[in-house]
Amino acid sequence: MKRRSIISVACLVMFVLMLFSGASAAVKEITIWTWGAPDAVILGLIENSWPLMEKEFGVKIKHELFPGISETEFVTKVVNAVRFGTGPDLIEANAITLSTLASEGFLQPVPASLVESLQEKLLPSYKNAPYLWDEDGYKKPFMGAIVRDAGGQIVWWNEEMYKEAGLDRSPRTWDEVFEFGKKLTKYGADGLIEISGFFVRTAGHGGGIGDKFTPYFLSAGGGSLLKIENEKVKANFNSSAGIAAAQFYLDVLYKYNIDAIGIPGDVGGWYRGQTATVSARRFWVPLDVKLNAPDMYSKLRAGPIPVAREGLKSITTSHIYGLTVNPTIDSETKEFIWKLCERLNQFDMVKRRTIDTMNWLPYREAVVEDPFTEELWQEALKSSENTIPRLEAPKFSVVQAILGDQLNLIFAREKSVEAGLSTAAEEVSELYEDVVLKEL
Amino acid sequence: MQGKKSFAMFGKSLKKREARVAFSFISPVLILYTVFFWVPLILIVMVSFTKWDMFKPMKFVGLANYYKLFSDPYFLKAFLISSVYALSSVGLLIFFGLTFAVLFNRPGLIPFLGRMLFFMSAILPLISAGAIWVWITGPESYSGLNSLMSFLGMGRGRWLAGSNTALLCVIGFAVWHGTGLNTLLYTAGLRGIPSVYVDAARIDGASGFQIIRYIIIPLLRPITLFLVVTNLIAGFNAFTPIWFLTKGGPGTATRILPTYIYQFGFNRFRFGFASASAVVLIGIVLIFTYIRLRKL
Repeated sequence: MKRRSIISVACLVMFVLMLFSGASAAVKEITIWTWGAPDAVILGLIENSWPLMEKEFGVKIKHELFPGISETEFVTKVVNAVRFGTGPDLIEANAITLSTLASEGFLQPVPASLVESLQEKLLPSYKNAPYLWDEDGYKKPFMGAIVRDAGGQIVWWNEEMYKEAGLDRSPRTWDEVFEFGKKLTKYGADGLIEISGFFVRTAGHGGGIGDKFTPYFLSAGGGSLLKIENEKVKANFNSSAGIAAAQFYLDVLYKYNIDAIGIPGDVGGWYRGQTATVSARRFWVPLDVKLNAPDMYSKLRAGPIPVAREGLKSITTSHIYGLTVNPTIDSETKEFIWKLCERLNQFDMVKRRTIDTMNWLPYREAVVEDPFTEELWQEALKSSENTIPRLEAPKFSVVQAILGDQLNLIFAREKSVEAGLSTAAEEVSELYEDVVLKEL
Repeated sequence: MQGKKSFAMFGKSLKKREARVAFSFISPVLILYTVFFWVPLILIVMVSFTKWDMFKPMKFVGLANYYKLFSDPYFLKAFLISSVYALSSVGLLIFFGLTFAVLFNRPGLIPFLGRMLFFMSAILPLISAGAIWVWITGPESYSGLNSLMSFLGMGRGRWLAGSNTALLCVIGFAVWHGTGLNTLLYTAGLRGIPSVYVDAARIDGASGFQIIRYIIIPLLRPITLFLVVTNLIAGFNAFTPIWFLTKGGPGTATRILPTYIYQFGFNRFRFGFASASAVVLIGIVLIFTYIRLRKL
């Protein structure tokens, strides 16, 4: 009997404790979804604003990352989660996810007051990047997100390797890519490449191949990956510029043999000394290098995407990550979240998110502060001044995947350039067959 | 008993109440199986007759996806590569599994260590094992295989990144990662063979090879059949190792059916077409499953 009483009292105490813990757990929780999982250290630095926000606003921020899934998978996940009411409060996504949300009518425009202040803060070349089309024939573009991360794809090169080869700048034209590449590429006794002179992305996810290919297409005078013909969206990458850009890749791989399929590229390949030049989009390349290979940081230099021939303009695509509100959450939470976003754009917070962490963001007030006044950053900024938003239309990630999958076959010499691009163009027409557009 | 209905189940006649109890015990599994297997399977078949991007409503297109599928040379190539991958990895797994089981099926420290060594690769998580394999067969000059080739004074290769060698490398991975389990199962099978058969054959003057050829292999037939069919099913369904090692590349050199399906479904939002491909793959796997169920 005594034992039973003890158990009953213990249960009661536990129940009361649970009630109290429940009361303390009643703190508002804000969930954020982000595609991908950047380097943990970098993420830690970038996310250093969350604890302060939690403290200031008395909320708990739950940041969920989705590593290892493709961009299209994330788009599908987010759109369907929002549709079925299981999405997060705040979505941190790139323009492709945001534009798909917009075309489905699931994107909340940024409040006018915030738009105004954000427009004042952004660098001119990034001002249009957060703008998206609405679901109604894309007639009224609106700002759909607060910029959280951005950068144009540019060339990052190894000054030491270039000096050894008697070079003092990155190649500006494709001819120079071949010329410099021959001097920079190191071959083993058996002819295999040990250090690539100029890395081009030729393998992996189709979307990634298409994405990295786009600035070369633009810098060949391509104009835009898509075009409108009789109110229908058609591919434009099968134009002469697209063919030239694909041929440029093939020349890099096979004619001049300055890179090969399978050579590790991107930033990791660069700081491990496996490639002398790499084109990467995210502006956290310097931070990545500084954290993972500090001895390589002093060798890092930036340059523009080489153009097809002299006289053409080097054009790159920007990569915007934005924060936007899930439109299906209650209005009170929505209002609260926009306040939170507004706070993120105040200078002390911008400083915390950019200057303090070396995480470049296209804020005018941030890029004039150290460390962004360093020569490297100035080069990077100058190299990306002709930046166009990566976003072109909803399902754009699919366009890049279609293009990338065909490029993959072209680069492996399983298909001719013309046949591959033409197959991709047909698939793009099919993708947009139900969409009627007057202009892009 | 008279007047009470009986219920035939598991070959026995149970009372209705007993049947209810039995159903209540198996219902959680039945529900899970229905929700996570039968419902998606039926949905896949349905979606295969539609055009669907997961956002807009489905549009019925009849057999159009199947027509496109069978007229796509890359589907046929993916089927061929899947078959080469599955059949060759099964053949090698059976060969190495049996060989190592016979070699290490004896008492002593060395056979024990041998068994341990071969089973190690099987207990490694697929991704960790894949990372090791990338390090061994990568195209870099410092990869394990290239370092060995250089040491031996032989020409290096591009291995995982080479159009002609990538498929061999992924088959090699399947064999390296799967041999341990096959060895283990064969070892269990060998230990179930009464020693009198082998002893009698020895007394009759049979050689070691004859014992293996005429006694051990026939007696291990049920295990061999089980391994052939399960390895074939796994081979046709393989996605993770291929995606991790090569993403189906270079080009389409290692693009097997599951990666083909993934590329169309999740990279290009062509879920109708991807579902039609999946239905064909399910059909292939079902054939092997049927064989297994018939023979076992």
